[in-house]
Amino acid sequence: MRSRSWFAACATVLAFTLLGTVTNDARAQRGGARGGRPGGQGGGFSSEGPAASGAFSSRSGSAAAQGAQTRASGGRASARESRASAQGTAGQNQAARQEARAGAQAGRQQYGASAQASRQQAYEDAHWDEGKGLAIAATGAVVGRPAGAMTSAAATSAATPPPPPAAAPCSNPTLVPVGGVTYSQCGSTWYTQAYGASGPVYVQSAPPPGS
Amino acid sequence: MRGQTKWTVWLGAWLCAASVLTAGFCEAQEAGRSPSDARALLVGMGEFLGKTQQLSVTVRAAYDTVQASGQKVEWNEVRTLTLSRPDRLRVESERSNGTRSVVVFDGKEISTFDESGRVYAQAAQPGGVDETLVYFVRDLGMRLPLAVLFVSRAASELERRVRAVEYVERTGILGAPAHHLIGRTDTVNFQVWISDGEQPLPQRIVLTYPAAPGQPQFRAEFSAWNLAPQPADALFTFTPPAAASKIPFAAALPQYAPGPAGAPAKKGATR
Repeated sequence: MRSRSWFAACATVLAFTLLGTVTNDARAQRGGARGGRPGGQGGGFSSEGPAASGAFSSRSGSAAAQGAQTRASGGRASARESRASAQGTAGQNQAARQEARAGAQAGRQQYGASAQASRQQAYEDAHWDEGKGLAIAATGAVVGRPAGAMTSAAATSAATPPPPPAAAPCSNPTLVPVGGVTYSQCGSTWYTQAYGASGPVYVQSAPPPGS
Repeated sequence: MRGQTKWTVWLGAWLCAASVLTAGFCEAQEAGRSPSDARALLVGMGEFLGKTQQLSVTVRAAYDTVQASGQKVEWNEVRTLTLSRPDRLRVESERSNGTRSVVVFDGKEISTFDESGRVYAQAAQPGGVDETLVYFVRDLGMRLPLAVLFVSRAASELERRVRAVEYVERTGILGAPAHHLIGRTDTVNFQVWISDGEQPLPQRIVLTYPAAPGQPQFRAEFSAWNLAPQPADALFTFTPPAAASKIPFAAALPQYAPGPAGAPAKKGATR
């Protein structure tokens, strides 16, 4: 009888222990799932991209919203134009009223543009760490970036030879120094060297003064 | 007598079970702190960094870029940052292709020098480190990853951006006890490991850009934290090396077609 009691007691302890283990495992798994957010898997390769900024904000995530806003704004402008066109078929008095409306509309548009610029400024203030180096690179005006080299995840070595300087914008540019700035001419296109987000680059520019 | 023994055995068994359950509950509590604790830890890290007047740290970072083929390339770099508030900053960088560069702010000018190209750019920037970091990153469009962490208002910058943050676990896997948090801003998912102790410094950060194709990441590991570096003044003085050419910052150039017209880089402290 006594041994049966001990057996029952041990079985109860074992059952609760197992229950506790299962509970903890479940919590751990839930915690692991929260922590295990799927991230990124992981000469002449691009080294530009949203992750290069190492910022806590990204234009990648906001571009769609900004595009939608632009499209919506364009749609409203188009509708206004349609209404203005229809009103144009009415009489002289109506034309006068239309003129007044057009003036008010222009005022509203100006206000809208100003408000949009303010919102853009506020956004840039709030997300300043995004930078705009990538935006500059995306214009296509930047060429002659230092060539990238594919590397492994290993730490860099002090023995790594330094890369060549930024490549010239074309094979044999004409160099024209003006006012302390050296312009490079490739055909009819002019470039100047400038310091970009990640180092020196050649930027398409206006011709030098007096050329 | 037998009945009393049986009662004692059952009592012992229940006490054992209760102790096991209590231990498990406490462990689970430790592993899953409330969101408010996680946010407090994150903000606490920002406050600590912001209040630290002088520091130096080495940051080994890597980031992905997604190629046209869809493949990712990981780029590596090592930065050593030395900061002396209110108006001294030096960042030495070496990228995985061997490029070395340095950024120096002396309270009057911000200078950056590219060793391989033997070129430097310089801009007048009177003010403190906070305004200079904003100007350098936002207005001059220069790369300085994790710059938010090094302004004195790092805590409020994080609070303003972060929409959610959760506690994952306490871990020692990085070499010292740390709190592992995950969170997200409007556009970035992040993980951060913050030292558990009187100096809540970041040990590691992973940023994921979920809206970008391929969801690239930026990863950084911090080492050699020194909160009393006592740097020499010369460290924050930039003297252009011989034969180095001065070039403008790209963002300061008047924009030219095919880009849209725009204003040159402006000075600006943010809110």
